[in-house]
Amino acid sequence: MTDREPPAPAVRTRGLAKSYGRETALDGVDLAVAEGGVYLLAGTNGAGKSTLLRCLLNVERPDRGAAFALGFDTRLNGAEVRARTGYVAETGEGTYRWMRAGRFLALHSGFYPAWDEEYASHLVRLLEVRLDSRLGALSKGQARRVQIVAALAHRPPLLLLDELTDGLDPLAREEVLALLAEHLADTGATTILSTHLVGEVETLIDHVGVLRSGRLVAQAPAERLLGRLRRYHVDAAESWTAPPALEARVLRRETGLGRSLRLVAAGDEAETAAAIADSGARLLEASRLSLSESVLILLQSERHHDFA
Amino acid sequence: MTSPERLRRSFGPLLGSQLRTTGLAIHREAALAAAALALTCLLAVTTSLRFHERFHALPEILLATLPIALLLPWAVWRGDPPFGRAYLWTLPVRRQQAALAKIAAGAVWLVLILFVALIALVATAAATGGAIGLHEVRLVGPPEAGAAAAMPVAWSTPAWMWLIPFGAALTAYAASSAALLGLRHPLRWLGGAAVALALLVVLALNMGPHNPLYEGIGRFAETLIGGRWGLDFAVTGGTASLSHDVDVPGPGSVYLWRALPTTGAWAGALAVWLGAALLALALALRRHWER
Repeated sequence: MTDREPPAPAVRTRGLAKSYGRETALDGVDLAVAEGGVYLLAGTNGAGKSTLLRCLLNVERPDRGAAFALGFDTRLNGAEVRARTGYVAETGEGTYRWMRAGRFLALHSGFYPAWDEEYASHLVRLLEVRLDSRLGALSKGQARRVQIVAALAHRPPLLLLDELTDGLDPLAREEVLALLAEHLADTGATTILSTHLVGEVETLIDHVGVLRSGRLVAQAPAERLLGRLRRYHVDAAESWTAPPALEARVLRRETGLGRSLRLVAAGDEAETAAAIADSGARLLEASRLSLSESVLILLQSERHHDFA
Repeated sequence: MTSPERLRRSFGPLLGSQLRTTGLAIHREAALAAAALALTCLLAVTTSLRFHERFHALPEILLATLPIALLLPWAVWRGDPPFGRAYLWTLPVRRQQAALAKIAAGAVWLVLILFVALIALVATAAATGGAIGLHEVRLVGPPEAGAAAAMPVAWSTPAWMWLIPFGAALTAYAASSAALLGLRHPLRWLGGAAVALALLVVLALNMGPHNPLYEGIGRFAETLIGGRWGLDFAVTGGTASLSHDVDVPGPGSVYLWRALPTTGAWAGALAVWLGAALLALALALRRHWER
């Protein structure tokens, strides 16, 4: 028994399920995000990422299960959760097309007693937000900047960022991600980031969850994911087949030229290397995967037992 | 971790923010309506002056704002689809509180629109030398006795009759808001109901003049519109239900009143219709209720 209990998750869900007619958006999702953690929610289009974030705000009501955020049951205390959350929605939700950006931010600020006017002005300057433009006249990227200011300026303890950099040009992406890094270092906010561009947030995140068809098929600390996933470059006869113990670890098989074979496998590197050697193949090299590669492999593979 | 303390937010600031938001949402339509109103008043004045006729300001004229009251919820909720991804639902207030504030803000704007229309009406009447309200002699008596047996009674539009358009507009606004908030596809439902009703009437007409369906529809419509608690009493004070045209010897006809409009009859009918609309609105709000 340890001296200290692990901290309770800032966000967790239990068997969260949501359907739209016959379409299942979420299917028994058990999510856990540590306080101060930055959680990457990965998944293909329609996997249920946005629905999950919306359920955490009680903007979308789950059919079954429960969600808790910052100590609140989101179904009973949705308003309290929203008061403490900075939310960047995937779509244009959160904007009024006829309203000028400056007016919108003024309206939004009225709902957050912790709104930091000075910080908001700093963000507006940094992101070059056009305050006098109507929201409907802004480009997708410009509208995104307004949403980012609205989400961050009250320094909430929870950030739900759905496709944060969607619509931003490469330069703006870099600026926004640097800004987010600075913001997180400053506030220590618990963050759930949903994005398809894993590579650009790799340095920020410490936990990864993979959603597929509404099911959270994998969930693990990024460190564990990087530590247990390896690409093994193997020299093996064409007739070589992996023994069952090794096969169970393999998440992806990439055939090369001639006898060259690359296997992406989960588990302890030494054990996997020994299993390859025992099978009659020769291990040429074992290399680490980047986080975006790891996430891509988890998205493609059916085997997630090591990270479930 | 943040302690789970309950969020408290008073309704006043929320209403204030929704007044600003809805004001901005409807400002283009409001500008157009103001221009149309100004043009109409100008036309009325020039026509009156040209033909040496006086324009009298009557409460019934304000009923022209009823379509505005029916359409206003659609403008008020623009950008915040009740069954879609609305910014309103992401705010840190209970959904029902946010929705109520928005509905109330729309109602405030509606009353303001009516006041502006009323002022324009009075100003137009004043500019043409017309009267504010109606001053006439009405023939009052039992319909079956005829015009000869009716008593002439001096009638001036009472002050309470100026409240009728306000009550009617607010009832229409509440009913329309209920449809918008309670039905995922309100236009489909309303269109479907209208088509179903039309088919029913056509069916009744094709069954001959004295079939039970035809008579049932007739009685229902009579109760709904001209009955004691009917729509006519709520919307006009009972002007259409209480009077009818009767022939008199010689050319022309006169209006015979079986009774003159009263505050009680109007207030009772308004209470029924406004109450029904508010009940529908409350039921619609239940669909968005947040614990």
